[in-house]
Amino acid sequence: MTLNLSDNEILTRIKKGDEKAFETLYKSFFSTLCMFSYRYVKKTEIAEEIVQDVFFHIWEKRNQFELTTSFKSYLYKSVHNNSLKHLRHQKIVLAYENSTAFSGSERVTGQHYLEETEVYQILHEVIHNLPERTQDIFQLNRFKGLKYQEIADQLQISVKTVEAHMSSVLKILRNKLKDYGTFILACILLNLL
Amino acid sequence: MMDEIKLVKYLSAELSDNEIKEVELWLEIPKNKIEFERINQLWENSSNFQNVELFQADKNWNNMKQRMDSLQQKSHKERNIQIFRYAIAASLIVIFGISAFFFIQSTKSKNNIQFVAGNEKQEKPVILPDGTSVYLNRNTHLSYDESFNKKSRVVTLTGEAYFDVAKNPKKPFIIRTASTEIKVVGTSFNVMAYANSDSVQVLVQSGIVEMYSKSDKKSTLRLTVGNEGTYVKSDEKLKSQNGYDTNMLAWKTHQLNFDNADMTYVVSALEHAFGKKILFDPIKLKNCRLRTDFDNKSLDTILSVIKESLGIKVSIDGDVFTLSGPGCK
Repeated sequence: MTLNLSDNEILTRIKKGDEKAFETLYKSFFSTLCMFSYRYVKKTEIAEEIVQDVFFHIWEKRNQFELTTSFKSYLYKSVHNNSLKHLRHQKIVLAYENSTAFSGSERVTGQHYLEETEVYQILHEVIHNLPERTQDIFQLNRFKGLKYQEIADQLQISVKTVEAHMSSVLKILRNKLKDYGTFILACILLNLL
Repeated sequence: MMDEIKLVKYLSAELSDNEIKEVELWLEIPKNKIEFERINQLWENSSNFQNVELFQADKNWNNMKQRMDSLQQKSHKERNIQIFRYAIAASLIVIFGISAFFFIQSTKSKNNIQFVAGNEKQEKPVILPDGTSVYLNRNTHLSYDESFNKKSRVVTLTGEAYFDVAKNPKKPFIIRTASTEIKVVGTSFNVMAYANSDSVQVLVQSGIVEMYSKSDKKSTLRLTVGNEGTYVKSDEKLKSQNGYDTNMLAWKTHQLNFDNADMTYVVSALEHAFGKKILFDPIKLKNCRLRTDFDNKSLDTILSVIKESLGIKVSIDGDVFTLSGPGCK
């Protein structure tokens, strides 16, 4: 959705004080970033506050602001860090880091797991860009827990069609994973150099 | 490479035993296992994305905009002092205007009488001048003007309300929603007409109710006791069915009956009855069934019964409840 090229464009416009460009950026990331922060802080208002602060920082410092990666990874990293900072402030981060629910710590034992920020970035991109029909079907399955047959009945389509939509989601996820795989590998190589 | 159709069916528990063995055989190869674990990680996390609807960018943007504007004011401090003077002058004019408006409004008041239920539903009914009682659910707005009860009885509704209409064949009682009108003589029924929902729904408990869309007043849907009438805004269609789900009235009756109900249904019924957000993992809890009746019980009590009887963990964060657990056999 947000290629590096358009990221640059958005940044230039934000630097010029273009509120519309900033609003577009804000609205396309706000909900998923909040949800991502909510996973840590577990309070809807605090999640919203953290996300808003990250965006506000960009706007406030827009003249000095530079992007080294993409908006997407900058935003996820900042929200991640600020959410942990909040927890640390609450002195519960230790308990959190020790809990097995924290997939970041699993990464130490199993290299093949993705980091939480990566998981959300990939899902954000994939789910937001699904064709409308596919999105409906995916949501009925994943959010409402309906079986293929139930989805087919509800939408008056064949089970085969449901299958086709669901497998197309997996195909996109798989391709995204491949991109990430090479990206991560490239980062490791660069670090070694 | 395992094809996507099979793999996604494996993740969604849609495969037969034989096919499961086939996938598990494929998983024995380490390279496949690594890929699968990442896919599975994404798949499991994807159900969290339903939380997205908790957060509304549009609403929050206004707040953000205010912060941005206040920033701009700070940076132009000097020019600001001048602007500030104008602002005071302007706001005085605005304040004067508003008070004049309200003054004029209050002199010709009783023009439009409004009832609003906020986050909390009203336990006591609103009694209209004709003796009709109306129970308002949460986030509901009901109004009528001074012509009410003269020739006819017209009220306007957004949200959800239960009507117990006083009988008067000479003055029909009409409920206007954004898209439909509902006409009755004397009966009791429930109207659900939330602005953010695609449908208007009427459940009839006694008497006869007529329902028609505002765009086509000729095609009328006639509903009798036990009928449910629905108007779908997007395809402008009216339809009726015999019998309705009594749990849809639980917000008023405080009666919930679950007969072997699955968690998807239980959660949606509880959300509607109590106006709270409840999150759960539909896949893990898909085999859990609830068979209990609740009479006048609080949400806390109901959730603790669910917890005890089905071994489901209930956690509360502010106003959001989350159900989790290993699931049922």
